[in-house]
Amino acid sequence: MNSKSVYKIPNGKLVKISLEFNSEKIVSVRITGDFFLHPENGIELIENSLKGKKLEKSMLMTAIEKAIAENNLVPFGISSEGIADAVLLAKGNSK
Amino acid sequence: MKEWRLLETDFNDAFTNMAIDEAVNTLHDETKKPTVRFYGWKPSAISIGYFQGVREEVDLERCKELDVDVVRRITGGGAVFHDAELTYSFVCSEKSGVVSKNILDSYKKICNSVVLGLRTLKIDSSFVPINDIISNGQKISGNAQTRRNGNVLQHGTVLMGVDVEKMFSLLLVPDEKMRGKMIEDIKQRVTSVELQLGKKVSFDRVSSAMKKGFEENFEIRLVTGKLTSEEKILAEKIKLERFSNESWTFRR
Repeated sequence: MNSKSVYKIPNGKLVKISLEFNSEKIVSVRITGDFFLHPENGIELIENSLKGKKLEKSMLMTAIEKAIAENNLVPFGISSEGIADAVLLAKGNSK
Repeated sequence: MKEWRLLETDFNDAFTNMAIDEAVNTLHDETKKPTVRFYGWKPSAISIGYFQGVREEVDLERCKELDVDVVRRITGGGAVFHDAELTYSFVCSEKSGVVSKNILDSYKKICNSVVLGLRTLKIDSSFVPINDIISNGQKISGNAQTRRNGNVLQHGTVLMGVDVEKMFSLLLVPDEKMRGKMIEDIKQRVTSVELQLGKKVSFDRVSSAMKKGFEENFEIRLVTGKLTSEEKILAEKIKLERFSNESWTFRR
């Protein structure tokens, strides 16, 4: 299934999600928006870290936090919780 | 007093503008003087942030009709309509210690040049994290930074005039029913040199004010220089291979 969301992260920027998933697991996710992430190509590392993950908030947050820590990424205007919430909103929008 | 290089490259198309910023950053190192560049956009252009989806943000057909370039930046942040504005860019090496390793602190430091430049024009403003400068509660400058090759590149706008209606005719909004309200909201939230002073100010006047702002802020002297031939050649290559290439523009 494919679905999308637009989510304003509290105290952060606007995040847009394109989500492809099946039976509660993520096939792929695309994160776009007006946020900052250093270095910029880290966004693909975050997107890839979510592949195959269950659509549960804590699972998503752990995966994102791991990608950020392992690759020394510095985000501004987005957070692991903000991205996880946006992804789950996209899932909700498919119904 | 230390001397830095000032580049005044006047008006160029979006792809050339973004390619020059990247080329200067790529070829910079700590043995070279930091560079400050002032420029404008001809034709007018929309730039989108590194992470934005171009089809989500921009009315591409409308841009084509109105001869407005569309370019993806190598910096994050939002979509900008570059029309009546002066754009600056700033490049220094991280090792130089000119700005903090801490990204938010460095935004504040570099943006303070714009605040001081606006003060020269008798406009009060202040930096608001992450990346805005506001005057009387309204945004007058947006800024974006990237760090690559051991260098800091920050570019930003100084709005000289603002046409919110035109800007929104080129951008997509999440909900068409909200377009009118969004235009009214943005009108409340954005200002310009012209609106603050009640008169038009020339590009050259704003440019010399910003020059003063950078000089005061960093306690340096800006000396007019030129792009090196190496920078020109690299900028041409980056323009062709990246910024005017659809695979870059449409990658998100």
